[in-house]
Amino acid sequence: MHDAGRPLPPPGPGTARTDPDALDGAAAALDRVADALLADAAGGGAWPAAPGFATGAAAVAWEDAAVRATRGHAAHADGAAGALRASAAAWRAADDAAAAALAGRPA
Amino acid sequence: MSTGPGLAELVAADPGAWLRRAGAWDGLSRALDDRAAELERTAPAGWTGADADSAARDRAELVRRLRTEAGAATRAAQALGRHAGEVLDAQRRLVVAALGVHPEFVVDLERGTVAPVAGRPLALLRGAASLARLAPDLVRLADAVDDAVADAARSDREAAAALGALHPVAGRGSLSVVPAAAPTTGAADVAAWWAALPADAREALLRTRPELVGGTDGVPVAERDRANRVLLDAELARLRAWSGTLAASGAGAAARRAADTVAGLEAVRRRLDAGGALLLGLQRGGTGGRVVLAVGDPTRAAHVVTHVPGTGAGWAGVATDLARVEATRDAARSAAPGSSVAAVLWTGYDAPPDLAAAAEVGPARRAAGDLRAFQAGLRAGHDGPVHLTVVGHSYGSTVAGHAAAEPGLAADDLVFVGSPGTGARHASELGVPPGHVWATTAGNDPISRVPGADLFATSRALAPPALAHGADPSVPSFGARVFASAPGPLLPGPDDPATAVDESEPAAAHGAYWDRGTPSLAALGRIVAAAPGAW
Repeated sequence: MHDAGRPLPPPGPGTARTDPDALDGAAAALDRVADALLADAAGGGAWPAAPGFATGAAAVAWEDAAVRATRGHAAHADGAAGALRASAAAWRAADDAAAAALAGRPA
Repeated sequence: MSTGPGLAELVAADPGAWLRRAGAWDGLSRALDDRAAELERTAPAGWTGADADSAARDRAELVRRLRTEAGAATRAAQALGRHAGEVLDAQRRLVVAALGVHPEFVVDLERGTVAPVAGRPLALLRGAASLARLAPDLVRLADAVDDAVADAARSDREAAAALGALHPVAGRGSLSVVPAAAPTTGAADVAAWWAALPADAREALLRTRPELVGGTDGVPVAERDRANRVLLDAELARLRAWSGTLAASGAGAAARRAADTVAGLEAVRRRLDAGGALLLGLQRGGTGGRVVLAVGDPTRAAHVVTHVPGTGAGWAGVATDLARVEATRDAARSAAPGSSVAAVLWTGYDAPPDLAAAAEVGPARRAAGDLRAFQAGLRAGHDGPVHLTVVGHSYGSTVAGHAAAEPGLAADDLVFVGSPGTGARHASELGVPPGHVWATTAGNDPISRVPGADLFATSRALAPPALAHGADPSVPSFGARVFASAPGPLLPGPDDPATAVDESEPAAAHGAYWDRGTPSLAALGRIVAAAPGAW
């Protein structure tokens, strides 16, 4: 069984260590960032018409690109959160499997 | 490529809205910085190994991109804000220069005209003293206008270039890129381009670029209508606010003009709400505003007539022009019962705002290409064969004539009503089949008395009686099929004390061709419906 409250010793070179609850916490933070980025990408509505001004089209293009990029970053953060949760779940599954195997071993 | 703003566009610009948008971009920049900082704060502790290393690199890359784009948003906001400030300053200088013109004259910055104050129509031309008084003011005003427009254009180029250089790079999982540029090679190519776009791209364009979708010939009419209704509502809101501001500030003439414009657009909205109409174009343009409104379905009707109005046409005059369009359609349906008829009000050009401007041929020449493109779009977007008619009234006939000056105008019949000249010397010069050029001018229509050969060099050496823009198409020697119209109200005599002092009265016969029960309206109906009849 995993023990989330147990302090981890400093890792040695090449040592893999993890704390699945910390990974879940980091994933939740990434979710918040992704949601916030989506809200940031909501934009400001229709661009005020500016016939004759090339800046109008350039501003629309810039804003469209900024919105697309920000939505892309939200998707990126969302994907990273999923990866952290998958890593935490995998660690827990491996820990549970090891515990079960050790419990069944003859003393 | 845009050639930069002109005077009307500079006057109409709303740099305050740009400043607010620049503020929003600044807010986006701060938000992106905050997200980057939060990502750094919340990195998982005590996690080591290959997967941890990979996750850390991924997180660092996301932080880097967020900070990069935060910086780009700041610079974009600065570029837009600086541009807004320069345009505001150019507008301020225009107003100061206009206020410096002698109070005997009224400067209309929206139209770029200077005229005597109301009630003294000929004062400008009567006295050398008036001209002498006005001349230095005009020179100063012209210099100020040139400087302001040039500065706005320079600022526009710089800001557009700066924004173009700051395009963010979409991150992983970004949406598909929307192609924003329609082809410029004709309505048929535009139709093919539009059909090939993914549905979400079409929807995105309609939402983010309504002026592009709504104003491009070849885009299906249903989508153009949706886009233009978005623009219509935005313009109505803007103009109502502007009208209220002018009224509150005591700017009487300007407030009345704004109120008339609002009333015109409200007429458009009411006609759309009544059903069976499509808004195919709406732009501020350079004079009274451009509007293209179809009654009926121009993609399926057997007969489609395009009505091109003349001097003074624009948003404020929609109600009058629309009534003529509806009357023409009704007459055509009466002439050919059971036939489907669509009628289009095409004010898709910058109509001359007054008679002095209507003496120039430039607006007609500039409009000709747009009218040709619109007619080509009607043909290309129609579901099967269609009979197309173009009716030009007054200066609109000059536009139609110039549009038909080259072969290939998508029109089966061409009609000149109350024409000051078409730019052609003979009907055979127009690109429609023989026997399909029509004309009428009422006996009391003052347009037939508009001097041409004597005053305007453009009409010299034309064989038939010459009007302001060339040969009179309603005389037999022109070669058009002339149909009858009622003479209309008599012209008032110059020294007749019984004549009411009403400047609109001399024009009554000029606008009476669409009156119910007149022979001209019946003839228009038969031409539009390609129905037989006596002429």
